[in-house]
Amino acid sequence: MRKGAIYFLIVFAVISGVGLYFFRDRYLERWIENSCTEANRAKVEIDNFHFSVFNLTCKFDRMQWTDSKNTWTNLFETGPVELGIELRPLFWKNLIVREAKFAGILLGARRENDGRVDLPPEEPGLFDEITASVAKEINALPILNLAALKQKFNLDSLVNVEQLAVVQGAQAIRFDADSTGVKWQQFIKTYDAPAKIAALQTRAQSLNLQNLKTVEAFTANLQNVAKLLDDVTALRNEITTSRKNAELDFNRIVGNIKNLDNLAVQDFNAAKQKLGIADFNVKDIGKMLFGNPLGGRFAEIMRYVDLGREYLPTAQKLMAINKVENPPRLKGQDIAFPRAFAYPKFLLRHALVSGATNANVADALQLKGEIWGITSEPPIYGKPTVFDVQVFKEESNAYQVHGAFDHTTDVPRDTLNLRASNFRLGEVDLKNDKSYLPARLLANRGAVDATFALSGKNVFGHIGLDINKVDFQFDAATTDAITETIRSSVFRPMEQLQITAEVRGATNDLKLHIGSNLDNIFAARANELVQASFARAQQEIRLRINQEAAKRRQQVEAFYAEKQKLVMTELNKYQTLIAEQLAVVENKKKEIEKRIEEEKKRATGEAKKKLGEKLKGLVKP
Amino acid sequence: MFFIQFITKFIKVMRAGARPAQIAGGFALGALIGLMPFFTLQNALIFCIAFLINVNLSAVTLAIFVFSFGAFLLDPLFHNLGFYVLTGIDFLQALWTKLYNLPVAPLTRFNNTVVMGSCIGGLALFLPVYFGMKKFVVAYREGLEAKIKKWKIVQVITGSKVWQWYERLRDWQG
Repeated sequence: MRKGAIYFLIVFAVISGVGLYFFRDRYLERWIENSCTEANRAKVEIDNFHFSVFNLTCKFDRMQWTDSKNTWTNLFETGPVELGIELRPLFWKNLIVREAKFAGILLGARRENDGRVDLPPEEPGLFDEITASVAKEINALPILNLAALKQKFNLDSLVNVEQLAVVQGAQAIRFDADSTGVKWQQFIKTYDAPAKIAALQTRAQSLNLQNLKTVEAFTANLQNVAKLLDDVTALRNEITTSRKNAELDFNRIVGNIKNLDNLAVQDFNAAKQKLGIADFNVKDIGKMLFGNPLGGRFAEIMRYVDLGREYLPTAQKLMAINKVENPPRLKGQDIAFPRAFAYPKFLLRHALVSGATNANVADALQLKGEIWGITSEPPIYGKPTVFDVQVFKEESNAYQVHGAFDHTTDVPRDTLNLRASNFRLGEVDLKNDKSYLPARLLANRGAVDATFALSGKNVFGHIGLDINKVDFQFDAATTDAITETIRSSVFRPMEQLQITAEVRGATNDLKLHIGSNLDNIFAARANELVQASFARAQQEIRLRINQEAAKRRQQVEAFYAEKQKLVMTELNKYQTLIAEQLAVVENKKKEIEKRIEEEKKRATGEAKKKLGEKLKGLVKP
Repeated sequence: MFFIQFITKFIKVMRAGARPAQIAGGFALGALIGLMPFFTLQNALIFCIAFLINVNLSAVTLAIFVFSFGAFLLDPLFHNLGFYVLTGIDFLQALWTKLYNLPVAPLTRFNNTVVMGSCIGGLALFLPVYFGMKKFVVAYREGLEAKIKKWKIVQVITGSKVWQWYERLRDWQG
């Protein structure tokens, strides 16, 4: 045992303690900055941090929390902050802040330097998924319709003759008729029916019945005739079958020609769709006008919900003991075990916040409220993070924002409710770039009730707006008479406007529904204009397509008739020839049969006569 | 320069002065400290023990250097071992949970895979290192030194300019 070592250790401990005491602020400031920066993936900076060992309180003059999505802007920055820390949890390496005051909070302030840090890129979070999903819905908004009203229809661009289904169909039929004609002509040529008929004819002519005298000769020739008859019948059957097949082929072409009318209808519908006539729907106007601003606002609000998701881990994440395969050297992996006491690693029990969204008071929304239970381990704390904040502007009523981020179970549930009545609205940018749609909405006062909920990966959002004395403002004056008509007749001032927007579904497949009392009013006003204009356009399109269809049909029919006539005439001729031969042979057969009968009768008569004469001779006395 | 001076001092101690058990004890404690991540509560405690009991501090320091390098190389092994001990052995779960809930115990970072793995590795090596070192010191004093001096690597080092510079400086300092 070294006695001197005891003194050395005591001295060392005292020196270390004094050193730590004097450098604690700098050390803790760095440590907090680095931990928060790592969590935020962008710079977090603290100015003039001070830790009082005896009172267990912390103070700092300012904290800048960089927006990781835009590193030249702070997500928020604070004014002077004071924190009271609990002693006992420190023995468990837990930091519990019992009370904090965040004054002078400023949202979205521009930074003096870039707050980017070189960390591996973050995996897309829920916010990115929701933004993409909402953007998809906004992009799917109807793109028509009023544009068609002021459009001078260019029939050549709407109806491209070569691209018409009726034209392409006629070309296909012409090709079919041509190839069918060639096929049958080839058949006629190789089949060589005239030669076959001529051969049968020769065989028929070679049967000279005049020279035949005996029954035996007739009987022998009868067999030849029967054979010839079989051959002629077989040839006739072949010619008849071929003719029927040719008829079927040509009938198919006739069917296709008749179908040209359907193709013309199809062309007309396609042209209508190009024009946008098909999509007109009363619900579309609300969606068209408010889809962009409301969808954008919804995504903005969901970003704050997503921040809660990011910084408040769920039970599942916390208790996961999936092995990290290759942690950095000498760092290892911390394994969490169940806690028997309610001390999370970090907990801010209660905070008073006040601040603004902008440094300029006139433009800014002022914030004032309270937050309870911000923690790094909600399942251990066992209570949701709750906040109540009032957001207000000069000369306007306050918005009440209430939120609860419940991450105490495996499925996080986040809700946000925003309510305000009789607040001043002023001018709302509708983010429309079409001259016939209003760019801004001007309103007096309104009431809003909005609820957002995110449970696991399911989103529900509802915004209800009730606005008084509404007018619409357009970006630039128009010289176009039709646009002016639309503006003045459709977008007239209104006494009251009610809008509801609802988003629901999985984060990657959200459905946006927007409804308003504008729909029916505007739809009725617009429909009058739309119908007349579209009717004209439809008529012109129909006429052009029908003309083209008739012309093509006529051409195809003529071509078909020519081909069909060529083949069928030939086949008909063969049919006549073979029928003639058949008749000849049949006659010959009948004649032979008749002659055989005659010969038989004659022979019988002669035999009888001879027998009679012989009998007479015998009977004669 | 500090390191060479430090080695020389250690070699001196190896030759005579401290008892083999003191050198071996210091080396074993240093090995334990060196294998574990440096800033832990248990390391501070082992340091205090090394200061208080009569072990050779040069041996402690040398062992920390040597085994810290070893710990870096063995880190994946310690991580796997620590993960298995902390999560794979059912009957120990109650113990870890109990420790996790005790005050001050979390400051030892025992729930870190590398800390746990290296701690087990260090404890497992403690006795072999102690006895091995003790035997080595005895053997060194009984004639191994002469043999080591004949090693080519030793001759290259002692014949180098750096070594000559160091010897001049040492003699000058007296």
